[in-house]
Amino acid sequence: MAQPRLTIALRSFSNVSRKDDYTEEPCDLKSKRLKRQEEFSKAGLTWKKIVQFVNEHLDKKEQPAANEDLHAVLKAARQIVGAEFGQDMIESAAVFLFTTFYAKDQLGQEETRTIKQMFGPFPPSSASAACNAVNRVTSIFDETQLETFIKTHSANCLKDQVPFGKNITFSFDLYALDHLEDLPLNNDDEKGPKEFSLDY
Amino acid sequence: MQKAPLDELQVTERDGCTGRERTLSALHPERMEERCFVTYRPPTLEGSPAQVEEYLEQAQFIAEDLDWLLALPHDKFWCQVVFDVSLQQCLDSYLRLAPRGLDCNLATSPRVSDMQRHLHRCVFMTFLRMATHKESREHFLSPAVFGEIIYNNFLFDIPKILDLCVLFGKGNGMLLNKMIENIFTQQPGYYSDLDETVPTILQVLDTILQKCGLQTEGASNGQPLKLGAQSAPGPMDMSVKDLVDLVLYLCDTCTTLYSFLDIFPPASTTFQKHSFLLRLASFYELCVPELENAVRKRKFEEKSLQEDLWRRLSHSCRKMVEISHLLINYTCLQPILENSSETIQVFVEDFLQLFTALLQEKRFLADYDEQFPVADDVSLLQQASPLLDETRASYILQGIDCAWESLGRKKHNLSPVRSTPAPE
Repeated sequence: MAQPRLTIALRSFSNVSRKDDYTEEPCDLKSKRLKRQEEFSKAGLTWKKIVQFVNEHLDKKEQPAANEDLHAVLKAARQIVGAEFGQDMIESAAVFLFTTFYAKDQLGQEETRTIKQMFGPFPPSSASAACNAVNRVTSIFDETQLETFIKTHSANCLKDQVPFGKNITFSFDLYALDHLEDLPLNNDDEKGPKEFSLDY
Repeated sequence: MQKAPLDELQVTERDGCTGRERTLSALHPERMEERCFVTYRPPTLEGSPAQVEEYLEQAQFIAEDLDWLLALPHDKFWCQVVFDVSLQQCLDSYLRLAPRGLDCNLATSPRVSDMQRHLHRCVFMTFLRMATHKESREHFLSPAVFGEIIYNNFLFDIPKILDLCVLFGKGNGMLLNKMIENIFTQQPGYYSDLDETVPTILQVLDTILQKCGLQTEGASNGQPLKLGAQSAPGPMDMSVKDLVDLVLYLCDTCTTLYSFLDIFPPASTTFQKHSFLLRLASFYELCVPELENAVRKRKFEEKSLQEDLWRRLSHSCRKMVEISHLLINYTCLQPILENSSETIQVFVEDFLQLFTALLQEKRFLADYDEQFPVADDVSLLQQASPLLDETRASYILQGIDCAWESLGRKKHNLSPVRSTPAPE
């Protein structure tokens, strides 16, 4: 429940704050997730590049199994994002699953949270299937090889920017209740104010 | 390398839709990224696992987005803060709803409090960056344009500034002081807004009095009162929930005002234009005994609630006294210490008039004198101004002694000044 606050009263009763109460509806979680998926799809690494990388680095006899696993990842991605989305969005989700699981053995809490953060509620069986398929593919490669590939292709235009305030010391102290006198239980009420006097 | 202020810069960049090069002003809405900031929701005390997850998810979005925002180059940062309404909504929601140190619902789960700390820092750094018109030698805004931008887009307003003080002021007072000083210096419109806000603050005090049944609606603005008009039930009769709300409201009001005046003392002058101190003292005199009585005498189902209310009330009393001291210090005492002898007399006279007017507020005066002995201030006046009217000074000190006596309380120690006989 909202606590009664001075500044909320000031926002309501004074004329010094934005009064239109913002014309736009606040962004909801669904729109936010869609926006994140959109952003991710522009991030550089594509499903085609992953498929190409896998096929280029495997023997011909290993390729069919690997392609089958990649197909399983794509299928899981479709189940997670929903079939109503186009191929681009599904491939982008497959990239996300691939990059989430390539260094993970199993679907843990952290991965579950990461996927939910991106796509919202999802069928865990699909995520597990994706995780297993990615593991089967990546087990053929050595870790650094994959990591270098993913890092090279994942664009992060702000990676070299020092965030504002990085070197500013910040205190987490909050105003707290003063430690004052305890509640006087046996107070003597008869010690009330004396009679009013003007005799200073 | 940027040499001109951002507001005068033009940039040439590729249009995302057409692919053609185009030249735009560096501060242009089309340079804003569609980011979709979500609004903040505070964590709930003893929330279910689903509620905790919901909080963490929402907070994670905000934290990521603010980290991204803080890493943006100067020009892109300003495009975002000026034109992205979702960002403004997000920041405003944090200021309104983030738990204060005095709130009852502070998070206990480590995951929630870690996330809350991350957000807390990001939000502060965002406001700090927004209050900085010169980020480096190369990256800056013209001061006048900066003043217009923050004011016209409501990046800062008085309630937000008060929120910033109460949320971040305890440990970041110096930084906040610089921020607020810069905001008020570059945009004097904030002084007018503050001037407009003080009557609303006084109205809040009147509302508390009304809820205590100590003032009928309309009494404060000179409207005639209806005969037989029934006042609201007082603190002894209202529901426990209403009493709790009232004490929480008072506690928040006092702490917020104290933090603001402590961090930005120049605001004292604006408050005093509305005789704020006299109104506060009168409020204290009426309201505190009633609330104290109710908290002490009413039956509460939980003893811990009664003790909590008592602590909050005592805290509020102390803060009201400290607010008064900040006002007196900035508007009277500090100028006496800093000014030359020709101008001192005005401030000495202000001090004497103020305390003469306060003499009727006995409970307030005794509590004030207990924390900030008035005799020490009078002694300062005696040293600074040889022309001090000793009769008036002595009258005030005797009035304060009388206030103590009338409450049946004894002073712990008497200052030597008190024994100075008043001139015949």
